[in-house]
Amino acid sequence: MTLTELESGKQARVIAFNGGPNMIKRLENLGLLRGKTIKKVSNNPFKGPVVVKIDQIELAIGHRMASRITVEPI
Amino acid sequence: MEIREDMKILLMGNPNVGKSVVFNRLTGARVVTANYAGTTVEYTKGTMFYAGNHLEIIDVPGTYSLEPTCKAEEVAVEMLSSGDLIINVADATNLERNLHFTMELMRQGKPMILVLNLWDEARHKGIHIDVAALEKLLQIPVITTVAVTAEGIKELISRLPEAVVPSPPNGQVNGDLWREVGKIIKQIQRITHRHHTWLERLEDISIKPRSGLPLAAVVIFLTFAVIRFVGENLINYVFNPFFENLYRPFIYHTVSYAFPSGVIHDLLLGTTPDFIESLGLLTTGIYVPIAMVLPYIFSFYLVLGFVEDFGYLPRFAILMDTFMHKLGLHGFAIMPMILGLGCNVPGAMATRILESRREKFIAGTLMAIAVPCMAQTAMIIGLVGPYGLVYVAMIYGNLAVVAIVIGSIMNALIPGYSPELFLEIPSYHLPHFGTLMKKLWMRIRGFLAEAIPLVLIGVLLVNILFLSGIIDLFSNFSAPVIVKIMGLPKEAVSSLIIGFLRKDVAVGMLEPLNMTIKQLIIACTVLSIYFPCIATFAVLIKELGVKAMLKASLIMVGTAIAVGGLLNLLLPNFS
Ligand SMILES: Nc1nc2c(ncn2[C@@H]2O[C@H](COP(=O)(O)OP(=O)(O)OP(=O)(O)O)[C@@H](O)[C@H]2O)c(=O)[nH]1
Ligand SMILES: [Mg+2]
Repeated sequence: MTLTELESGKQARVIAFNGGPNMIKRLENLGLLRGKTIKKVSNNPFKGPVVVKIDQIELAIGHRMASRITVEPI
Repeated sequence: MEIREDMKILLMGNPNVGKSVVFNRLTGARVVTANYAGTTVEYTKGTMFYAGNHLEIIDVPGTYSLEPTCKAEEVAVEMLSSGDLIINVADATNLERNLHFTMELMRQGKPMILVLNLWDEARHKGIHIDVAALEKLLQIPVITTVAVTAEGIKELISRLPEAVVPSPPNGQVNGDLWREVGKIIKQIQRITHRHHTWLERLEDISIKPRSGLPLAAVVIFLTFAVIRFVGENLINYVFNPFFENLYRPFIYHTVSYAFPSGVIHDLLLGTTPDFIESLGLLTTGIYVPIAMVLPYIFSFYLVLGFVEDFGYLPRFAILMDTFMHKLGLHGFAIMPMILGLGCNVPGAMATRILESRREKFIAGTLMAIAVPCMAQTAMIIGLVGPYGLVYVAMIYGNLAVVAIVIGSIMNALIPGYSPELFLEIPSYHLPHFGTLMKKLWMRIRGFLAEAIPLVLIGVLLVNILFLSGIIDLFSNFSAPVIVKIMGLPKEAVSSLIIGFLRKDVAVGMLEPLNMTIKQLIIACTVLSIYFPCIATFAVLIKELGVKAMLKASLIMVGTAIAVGGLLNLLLPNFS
């Protein structure tokens, strides 16, 4: 499923990024890597950003970008 | 390595790790620091004395990688080649991501030192790092610091000569670096479990939309209430009594003694006893910036400084993201707007944190149009406030509507799309009092140094324009627009002219025109929209380019005329 579909409060593993090298680079630069375990903190309505927690950091990811991140709930 | 005279030392690292605080500590200089990524968008140079040598320290904008994704990061990467030594500042609470950047730097063949800052936060969060082991693995000096209290700074200075060129880490591709970092982290970092603090619970409450949006409303209300309360009371109980009881008799006596009458007397004191109306250099020229504007500058930056350092702003930006997309921007573009409420100049600079030219153009134009700076706000409160705060609110309501309409139009007409929000949310910190006060003082000093000369020039210019009669020429020339369309007295044009220099003086010049409250509302709204002040204009030209700024200017003037006309048609007479 995509990160946007994941329920708030649930944990998941990052599986794939469906985007160009630029998008992948931006995500990885901030520490969002494939294989990492994340926890979804919140979802903003009306296609607002998704907030996730990875290790010690919280990231806000725009809706379109988040919809291109595939995750696997655990 | 040997420390030489004129050596260039770069402070580099991820955003929001405390580089600017370290810079302030090393150089005694003052640059703005705040708890969000992208506070520093331009490099700052400072000097440090070390064993009789002058060392040049450079505070570089934060960057996540040596492959830049925005203008502020480009600045950082360009700086790299000019440095002789790199102090890599890292966030100890987020070592993995920070070490990735350290590894990228280690490939550059420059002598390095690693600083693990925010060491106090790491302790609180139960993060244990084996510094000696890390030093061995990286083979560069590693120093732990708490920059806000100066803990570790002495050690950093004394160990500068130990900086060495590290051997580049294994692996060429990005993935390899992350793997290397992962290996190191496993060996040197241990995290002990502990209970959530109230700050962390507050973080959750402010980020979840259901609780975050009501909280945002409360925060906005409280910030404005505090700003007004502090500003108003400073004026009523400190500044006004001082100016009326001490300053007034003093300058009137002194000036009248030296110049009993004549041009110089009038130039210094003006022709009426009213501090705002008189347009004398020592009356209006001092009273407006010091007694009317400064109290609000003080209260605004007091509150902003706190909110910035607490870490609230990025969370607010996230809540605003959906709305900002309607204007062709993403949530973080609220940052230039918020800074612009203090002064449009740093607001315009902050458009650098935005990724695309389109976004910078829209954000810069909208800020110039719809975000009045605190100097202008203070004068509007001073002038319109006595009629009722509802009229002040009306001016801001007008500007908000204009921002939404113009933003939507630009979003529809300018080709391209708005990039996505993607940002790191800092954890909440209780602000460090000393750091807050230093920042406040720095901003106030900046205001005094930049505003007072311009205000004096403005007042002088008004006098010249009036004395030479040029103002009549302008008034008659612009009467069709000002009088026919906007319904303002034609003398209001002098205020618009001075508005190019300083908006506060411009608003003050509306006072003697005896306008109706409707006219005041129109004039104040138009004064905000029609053009930015010269200082903002200069920065916007630099950020957007001449051609884009020309377009932006046309939008501003067009909007001002349209809005002035519409308000004239639609507003009732309020009597
Ligand atoms: N508790 C604590 N707070 C710190 C420390 N160092 C910096 N801060 C705070 O962390 C925030 C970020 O500091 P800055 O100096 O603005 O960070 P920067 O690295 O210059 O950030 P950019 O300019 O955005 O790249 C500020 O609110 C500082 O007051 C520290 O050692 N301990
Ligand atoms: Mg900085």
